[in-house]
Amino acid sequence: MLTISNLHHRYGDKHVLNGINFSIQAGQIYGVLGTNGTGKTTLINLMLGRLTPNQGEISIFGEHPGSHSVKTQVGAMLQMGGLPANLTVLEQLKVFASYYDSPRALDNVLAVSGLENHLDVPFSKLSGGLKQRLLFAIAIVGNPRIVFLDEPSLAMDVTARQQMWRTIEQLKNEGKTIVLTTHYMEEAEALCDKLFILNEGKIVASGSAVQLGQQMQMSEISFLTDQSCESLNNQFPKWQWQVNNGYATVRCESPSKLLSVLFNAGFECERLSVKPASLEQTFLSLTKQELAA
Amino acid sequence: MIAIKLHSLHQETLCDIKSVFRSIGFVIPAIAFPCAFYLFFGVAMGNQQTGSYLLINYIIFGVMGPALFNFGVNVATERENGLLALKQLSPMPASQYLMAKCATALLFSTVIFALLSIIAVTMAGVTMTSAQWLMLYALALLATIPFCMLGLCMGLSFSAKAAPALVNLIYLPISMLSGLWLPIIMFPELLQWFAWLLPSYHLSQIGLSIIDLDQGFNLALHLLGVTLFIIPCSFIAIKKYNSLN
Repeated sequence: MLTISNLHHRYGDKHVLNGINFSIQAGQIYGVLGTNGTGKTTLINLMLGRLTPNQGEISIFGEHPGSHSVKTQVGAMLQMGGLPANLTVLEQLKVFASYYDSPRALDNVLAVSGLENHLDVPFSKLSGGLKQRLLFAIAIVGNPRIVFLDEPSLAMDVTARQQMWRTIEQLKNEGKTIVLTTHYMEEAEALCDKLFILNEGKIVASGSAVQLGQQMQMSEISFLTDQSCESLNNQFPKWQWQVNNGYATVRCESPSKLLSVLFNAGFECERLSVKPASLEQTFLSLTKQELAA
Repeated sequence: MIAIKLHSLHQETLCDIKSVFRSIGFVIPAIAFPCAFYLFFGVAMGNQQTGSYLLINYIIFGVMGPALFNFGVNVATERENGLLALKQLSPMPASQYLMAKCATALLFSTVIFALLSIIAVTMAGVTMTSAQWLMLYALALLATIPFCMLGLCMGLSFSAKAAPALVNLIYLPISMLSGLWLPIIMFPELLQWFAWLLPSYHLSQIGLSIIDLDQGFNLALHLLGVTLFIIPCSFIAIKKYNSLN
């Protein structure tokens, strides 16, 4: 459905993407994860044909992105998307629907995006979350086979975000393919069948959230302590300790080995928990970021 | 070129018209400005002959504003806020977007032509034959096009913040230097020749030829002047639009 081979892109002297390769199949949700400035939006723009790569190939449905035929089968929600302020939700959807030969029924679009009760509200009067929903509605109004969503739940509250997740899952159940970028690890974990972790212009890992965790073979140990972070790091310098709210937390590949070291040192490790590394921890390890305190 | 679907063009045009005409802060000055000028200079201070002369010049002046602003400012805003990007991602051809904006500017021109004509007939005692009124209306529509193209070049080149200032910077001096406010023969010779570079001068002369008050140059030269302005503007606009990404 979509194949990217040896994709390079740079802005001036700055290389943003360095040899990206992947392909995606129909009916799945794909997530592109990366810190700010790692090239997620550039990658989406290249896949949409908004940018031309400096090197490499992108093929969607066997054609170049941006061709008329591809445009009829692709929907997109970009991070920027200011619509005419004084046109209503219904007017905006009608005009975008008119661009396509076989658009989705407007009633269906409104129901799926949860905008049924806001038909006559001008764009300028919509809340941030509703604006995002309208942009999402525009992305799907052409009944596309593949939908690109660049940070779809940005600026949404928890409830609106979860509604958006349910909507995206509903699209997947209809057989649509979704490619999204996100900053929210729980969003990626909850929605995506496959994730691509982008760091310094390269895909450093890919797979499902579970596969990525296994790939990292990392566990997180946490227990109650009265010691400071500095003290723990001095006593056990092999590991990177963090202490928050009286809990010591450490990530390691072999929890049994670390625990035996701790027990031998006389630690009681009250309220001990050992968990597989979360997607966030995996992501942070792969992108060499430090956990926020 | 991909065929434009009439239904889609209708929707696009309708939305652009609604969007612009709901912006009262834009509509009122765009319409009131030429009318107020004409009422003052053409009606209060003029006579029947100056009424006809100024009617033509203020029609040109009146249609320039909405064309320049709807393209110059609105395109710059839509480009910056991402609406243009969303439209470019859809299968809608670029020409449809431009045709809708042109249609809005032409509607504005019609409103301005009608209002100025009503004022001219009822208050300045202007009389013209039906053929002259028709030619004048055709001129009002024709006059819209070069300024749509100029506005489009500006809208695709400058930021949404810079565009309004730049449009004003061009709109008012062009009007002045084309002889729309004062007869061109009152200008120094150098400025009279400079006016040949301005489409509004040629449009004014074409309009004045309808009532035999033009400078007497060959009409074909003025039509050529307008065409020579439209061609490079269109070329630049197409190039800018294609390189937007």
